[in-house]
Amino acid sequence: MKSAVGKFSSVAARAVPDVLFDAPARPPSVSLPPARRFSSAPGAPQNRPESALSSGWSSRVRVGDLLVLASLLMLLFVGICAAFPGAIAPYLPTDMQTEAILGRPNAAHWFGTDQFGRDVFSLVVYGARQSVLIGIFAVLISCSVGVAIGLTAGYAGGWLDTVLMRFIDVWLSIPNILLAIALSTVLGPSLTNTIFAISITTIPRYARVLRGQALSVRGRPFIEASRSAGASHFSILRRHILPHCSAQILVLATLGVGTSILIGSGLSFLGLGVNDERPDWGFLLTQGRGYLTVAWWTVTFPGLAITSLVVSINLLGDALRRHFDPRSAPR
Amino acid sequence: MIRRVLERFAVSLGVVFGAVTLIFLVLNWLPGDSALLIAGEDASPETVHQLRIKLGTDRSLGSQYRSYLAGVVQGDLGTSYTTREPVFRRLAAQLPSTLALTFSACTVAVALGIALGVLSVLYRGRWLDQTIQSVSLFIHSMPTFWLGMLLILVFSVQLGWLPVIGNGGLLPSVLPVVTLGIWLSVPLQRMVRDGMLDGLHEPYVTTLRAKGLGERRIFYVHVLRNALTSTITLLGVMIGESLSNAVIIETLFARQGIGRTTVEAIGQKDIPVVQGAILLASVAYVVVNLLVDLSYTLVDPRTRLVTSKGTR
Repeated sequence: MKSAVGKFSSVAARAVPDVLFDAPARPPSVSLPPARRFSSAPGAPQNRPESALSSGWSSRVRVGDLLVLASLLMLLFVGICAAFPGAIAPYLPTDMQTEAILGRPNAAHWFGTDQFGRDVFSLVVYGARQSVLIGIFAVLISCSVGVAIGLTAGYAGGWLDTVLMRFIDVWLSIPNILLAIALSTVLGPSLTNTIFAISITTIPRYARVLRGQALSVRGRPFIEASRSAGASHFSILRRHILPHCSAQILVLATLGVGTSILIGSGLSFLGLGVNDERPDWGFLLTQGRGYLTVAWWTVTFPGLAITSLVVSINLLGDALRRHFDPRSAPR
Repeated sequence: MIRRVLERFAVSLGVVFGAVTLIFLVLNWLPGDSALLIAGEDASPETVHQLRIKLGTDRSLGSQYRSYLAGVVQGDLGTSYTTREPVFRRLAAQLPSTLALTFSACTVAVALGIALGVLSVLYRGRWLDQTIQSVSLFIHSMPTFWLGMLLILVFSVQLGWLPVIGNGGLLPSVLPVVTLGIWLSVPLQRMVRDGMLDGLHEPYVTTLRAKGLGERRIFYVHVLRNALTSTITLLGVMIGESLSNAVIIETLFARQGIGRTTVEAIGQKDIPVVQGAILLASVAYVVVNLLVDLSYTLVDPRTRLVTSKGTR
């Protein structure tokens, strides 16, 4: 404990040496009201009325709840599209109406028609399944593997850290889309292979960030305290370091679902990782690109579908973070 | 300190070696037969066999690996299957374009990310913060190429200010750089904001306040600096992401560059070019992360205390 205190003051001393000399001269301001800590931003009025702050929070909570509800509904809708596209889509994705090629959005075709006369709305509905499956399974694999590697390396230190991180370094040094391109070309275009390629390429980011977290947490006094109280390394990892990083993991995993869907759409955009028969949002965008200047709807709506799905996931992730980590609630 | 730098340097060399090996292994599992592809479908089996010997793909994997490694050490990345041009020369011609795109985009992203992150914390919970957060959320939920398409729709098709094709000169580069820069700034902004908000609740802030340090100084010197640790980690990781997205951006804007060359080469199973391009990207990544690792010691003294036992 003594050494920990020493560490902290030495940090402060290195950063701002004059503080140490100033400190004894000033009376310690111990009787700060709690609100003072929250309104600590410089530039903000120092004595901002408490009510302004709290009303800001309550209105934000209400907006936040609405957003969460909207995202849940969006996810439910995308989920239904993914499970039963036939029940939602008015046309089959293979239905080509030659009299309605590149038609503007209208009552019969809400999102217009593409260059083959296919209904863009139906294509978007049928395309949901690919993205949903990619998002869920890629993150399940990459997050669990990545977190395990990262926390172990950061906490254990020593040779294990070195070996794991050198391996991760090699892995990470190959830019993700390039690695995914190489992998999905090697493995051939199928959904499983795309998911595998995306998981493999996204593992290092979890490991790297979590390792940094664990490294910076493990020197903190409370770890030292539980260690001296007789806690095992595994128990410290599970009960102290993992919860300490849970907000970080949640943020990463949430962004990870989105990222996986985005990498997946990127692969499709480059013409990899899709079966031609199955409509896919990224591939719809590739096809629409050629008609960008004459038919904005062919690229706007599939892109909007990807974006709304990923936005909903990210909003939900933020809500989960507020739920699991009350410390971060008033944001 | 110098010893530490040298050590990290040696380790980085090892990583590059590992990357060469990994890339080689992954790419040489490619099931396609380059010789057959180059010779054409109706070529006689003898012609294909001759070509295979010429390309060296008839040899064992180990033998190919040894000669590739020997070449890499001498700066020879092999010869393109399709154009018979040295890979190094072909890639070197494309390098400036990709470097310019990535570097400008990262500069835009860092400036935007830190500025918006700090602004968000300063105006936390108010409309400016909420606007920044909503727009960021939306932008980072878009595929980069869709963001690019939307910008093309607005600035090229509707307003006619900027060209659709992103090749040559300053004006055509604006849309690619802005697309990539905006997209990359979002995680940085989030990390700065989250890190600073977490930091404001840390006990050390109370300690600093108790010592009578000014709020402005606590905010910009201590809290911002602590938040930058995780932000720098992220920036290192994101160099890979920006190179990756450069591939997509170059394809979208039909812009010259390593990325587009790679995508073309993958279509033609031109393995030496693909290998060389990925190797180049990896080297760039390793160099940037070497710098990031060294900067840890400057930004977070806690990691310095933990990692180098001598100073404890």
